[in-house]
Amino acid sequence: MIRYLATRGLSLALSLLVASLVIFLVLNVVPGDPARYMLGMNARPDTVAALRAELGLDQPAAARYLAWLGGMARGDFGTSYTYRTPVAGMILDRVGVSLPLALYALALSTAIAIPLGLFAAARRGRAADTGVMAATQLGIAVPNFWLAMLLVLVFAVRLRWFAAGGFPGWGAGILAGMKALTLPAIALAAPQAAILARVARAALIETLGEDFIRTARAKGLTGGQALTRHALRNAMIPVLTIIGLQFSFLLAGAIIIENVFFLPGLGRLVFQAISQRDLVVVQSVVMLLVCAVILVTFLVDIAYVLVDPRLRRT
Amino acid sequence: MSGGLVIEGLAVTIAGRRVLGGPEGVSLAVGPGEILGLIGESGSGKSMTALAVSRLLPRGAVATGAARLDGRELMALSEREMCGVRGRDIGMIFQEPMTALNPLMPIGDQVAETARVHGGAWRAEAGRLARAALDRVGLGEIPASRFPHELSGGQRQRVGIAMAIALRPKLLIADEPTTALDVTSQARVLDLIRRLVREDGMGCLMITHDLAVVAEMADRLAIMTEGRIVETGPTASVLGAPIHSYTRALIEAATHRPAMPERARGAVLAEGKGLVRDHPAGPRRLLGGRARFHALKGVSFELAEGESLGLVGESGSGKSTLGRAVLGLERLRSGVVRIDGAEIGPHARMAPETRRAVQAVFQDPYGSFDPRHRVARLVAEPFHLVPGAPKGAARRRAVEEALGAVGLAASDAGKYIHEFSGGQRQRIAIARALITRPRLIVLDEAVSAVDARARARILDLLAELAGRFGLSYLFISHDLTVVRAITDRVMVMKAGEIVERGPTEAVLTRPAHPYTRALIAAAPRLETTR
Amino acid sequence: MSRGLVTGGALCALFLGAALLSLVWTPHDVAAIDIAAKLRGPSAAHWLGTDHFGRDLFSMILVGARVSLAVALVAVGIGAGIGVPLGLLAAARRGGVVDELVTRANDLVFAFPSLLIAILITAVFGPSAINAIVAIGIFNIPVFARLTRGAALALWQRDFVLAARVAGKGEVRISVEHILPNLADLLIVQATIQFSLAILAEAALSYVGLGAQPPTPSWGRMLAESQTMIAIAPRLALVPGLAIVLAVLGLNLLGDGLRDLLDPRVRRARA
Repeated sequence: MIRYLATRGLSLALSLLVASLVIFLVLNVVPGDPARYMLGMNARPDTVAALRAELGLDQPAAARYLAWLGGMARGDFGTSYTYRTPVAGMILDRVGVSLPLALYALALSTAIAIPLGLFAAARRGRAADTGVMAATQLGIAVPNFWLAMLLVLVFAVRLRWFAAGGFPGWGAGILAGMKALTLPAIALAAPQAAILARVARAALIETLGEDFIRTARAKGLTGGQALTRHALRNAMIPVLTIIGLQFSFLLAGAIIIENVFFLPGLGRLVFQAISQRDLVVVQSVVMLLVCAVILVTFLVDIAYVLVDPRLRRT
Repeated sequence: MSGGLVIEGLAVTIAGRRVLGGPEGVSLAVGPGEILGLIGESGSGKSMTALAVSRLLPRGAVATGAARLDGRELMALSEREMCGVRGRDIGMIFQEPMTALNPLMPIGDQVAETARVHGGAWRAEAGRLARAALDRVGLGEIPASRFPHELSGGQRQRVGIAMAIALRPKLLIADEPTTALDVTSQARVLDLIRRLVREDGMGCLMITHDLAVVAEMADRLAIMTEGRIVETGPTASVLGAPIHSYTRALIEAATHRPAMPERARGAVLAEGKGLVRDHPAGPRRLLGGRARFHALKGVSFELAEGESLGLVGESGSGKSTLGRAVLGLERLRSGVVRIDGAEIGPHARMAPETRRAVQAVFQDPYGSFDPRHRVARLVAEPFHLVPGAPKGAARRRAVEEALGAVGLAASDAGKYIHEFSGGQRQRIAIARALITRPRLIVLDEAVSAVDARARARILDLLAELAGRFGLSYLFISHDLTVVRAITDRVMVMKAGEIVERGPTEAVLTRPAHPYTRALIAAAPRLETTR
Repeated sequence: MSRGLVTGGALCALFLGAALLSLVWTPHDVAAIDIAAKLRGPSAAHWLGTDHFGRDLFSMILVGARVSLAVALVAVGIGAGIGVPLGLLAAARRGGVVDELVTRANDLVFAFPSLLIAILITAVFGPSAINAIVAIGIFNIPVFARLTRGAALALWQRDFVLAARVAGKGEVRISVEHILPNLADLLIVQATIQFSLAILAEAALSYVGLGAQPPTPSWGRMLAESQTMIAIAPRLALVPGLAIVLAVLGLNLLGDGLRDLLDPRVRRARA
């Protein structure tokens, strides 16, 4: 088990390193002179020179790359050119919105999808199953940001149950914060829940066709007992894979949803940074998100080991 | 007979079509302490009979008729009542030990579950019961905390048996319990079932396609074909004096000896010298690469022109690897394979002339053909090896000729492979092997997946073709009866090495190596009962 | 044929028809701004009404269909065109250099959701429809490569491939003659699924301003522009949203229907 996780961890760490190299090359080498790019064509030569010095552009690219990596390791993500403040602090504030939102949505999606998948699998081929499948088919087709707009229209504009957007900050209390994140989380979770429910149903039905389910039935288990005691756990492996993949979609989705609800998260930060050509901020945010995705992949690997004894062989 | 299982007029209908029972239905009886062998070829309805009795038929299948266990009518029970019967009164064992256990649950828990679902047993007590059941099936050395993947196929089948007998049921249904096992584990598992039946006095419905398996252990036999029982009676009288023509055909097929032509051994056609083949095995280590599994450990052999050479061994012995090496498909670590003196292998520069001299027939009649091509194209595929191969009408004639040689019609060339039965597919595979006029055909378990009667006819065909085209065979099989019937010489393989070789009759009647002796002792035989 | 397949086919035909129609005819010029006619409801002149600049909504939906279709088609084409051969090659030489590279590259690209790729590209080259295509296309390569490799590896284990090797055929020839045709069903189904995902991704990128740029209408940007007016003119948000839902739904139903139609297990059960 240790060896399996160590191998996976090493391989993912390698992916992380290569990812950082790709990000660095795209943002620092492809544009030619990042300082001139960030300031635009009409910038005065002395301003450009000042920024070049600030960014350390007189150094060779390899040295800058290593300095960037070293800085990140110490928690130093550089200084935003537009806001003149350390990027690390800015990101930390925004993560406080984006991460809870993604986790909230993931929890919602899983909590809806797994029971729904079980329900449909237990009644496979019957009217209830067909109904659930039709609903999930529709759920997959709805863009989350459009669903967000509809939720705003109904629950904020018409019913006035929720604010149309904005975030009071966690200082206003956990409940107030959660309330502000509820509509965005529902909008993010609904399409993902539809996908996950379909995957869970398909995995369960496939597992129900396995020989060991017949063995369980031959022991005297009812169909329901065979489903919950034997099929569910075996079906968890594909479900875990999808949950892991969904986290990266949720993070990316959160970036977009934040724009609908005017939430001060990483998404708003990165789009502002793009329009202001603040490459230091873009680079850090993208790196952070990639890190998160890879970390989640590793967590899913650990979950596999916990579920499947065949991977525990050392 | 009031005790035990009594089946009367059992029939199964799917979507209005009667798939089991015929007009009069299936009637059978299994008394307490009795073993009834239910024999039939694939699709005869023998497994469906078992599923109907245990009320585990797939959705949409409707069973009618009566099935009483100790006087209790099973067909009238509700699903919930039936759940109380399965596992407690009826224990079941299935064919595939590799997939019949939940891979994520320790074996002890899986055995204990039988006790726990039937109530009354607390966790600790169920655990003790499971331990006792595992001990009874000969797994005393195996901790209950083991997972299925840590056990061999034979051990897994024992776990399945432990689950089935944990509550000492009245009836044990065993559906092809040893078909997926090697002969030596098969013999031990059959012994175990026989012992448990005697000890517990339970009835046993033993379902199999293999007459030899039940010949030694069943008290009575029931012969089934096309969903109907055609003959029942005590084992000795059914085998010794069969009444129904189907039973006679089945027995003839199981003991069939094709007439192999007498031929003089020619020069050496194929030879291997010091063949070593290994694969990575187990997880990759961080340093130093992976552990390696040696499929061939320095094997040497010779095969003469006009000879039929047998290669026997259990699964994992390396016999298929050796067969693929002779076909030039294996990347050998060392050693060399020569056909007519010319080296072959994935890296060797082979003249098409050498390459086409060796063709092959594989085991799986379903997987051996690309389902998207018509028979004509499938059979003609090896023409790839023939420079200036015939085209157009000449090619069509060659395909028709090859199909004719294996007893198929010229019109079959336009069909797709799914339109043929298993036995017909193996004939098409032979036609494909014949089309380049090879000198050697490697037959890798080529008749293992076909029913007894089709197998007998294919063996006849192989004998005829050997004489007609002067073919040599490398005949790979786990089945000693078949090898005895079709080969002149035999090699016995174990763990990547050839442990014994010699003329087939001599080796099989006077084995020198202890492993050969064990194999022969374990192989079920039909002749001994006659 | 199933009801889903028919519904999906009809929706896809509608989508394709709208895109093709927009090439030759739209009721109004999509770029024509007429402030006097702004926010009109549906009428004979404007079937779906007008937006806040007085542009004809129906015409914009038609052209938007074309943009969605073009972006998704090219992006999935890039993904399948590069991913499938890579997957075939990786499977043919299992454990070889290409296999190792494909597996590693897959891991890497999966760490970048398509939106992040788009953000990186846009940060350097500025927003455009081409960038959306490239971003979605890059993300699709490992999807197809992984699928192809996995399914091809299973096929390489089959006896008919062994028979082709006995017939002296090489890796490339077997891949083309035996492996690819047997993967075709699977790839067609996956392509329709990726196509619908690409339409969703294009809409999302346009919505945040990383996709097609004005004056080219796109469904995603129409939604973005409608957002501030959602309280007074919900129609502006409903129409393009429904267009996206119907197109994606149609493709998904078509994909599922094709899978059932082509799946050998289902086909055998039906025969």
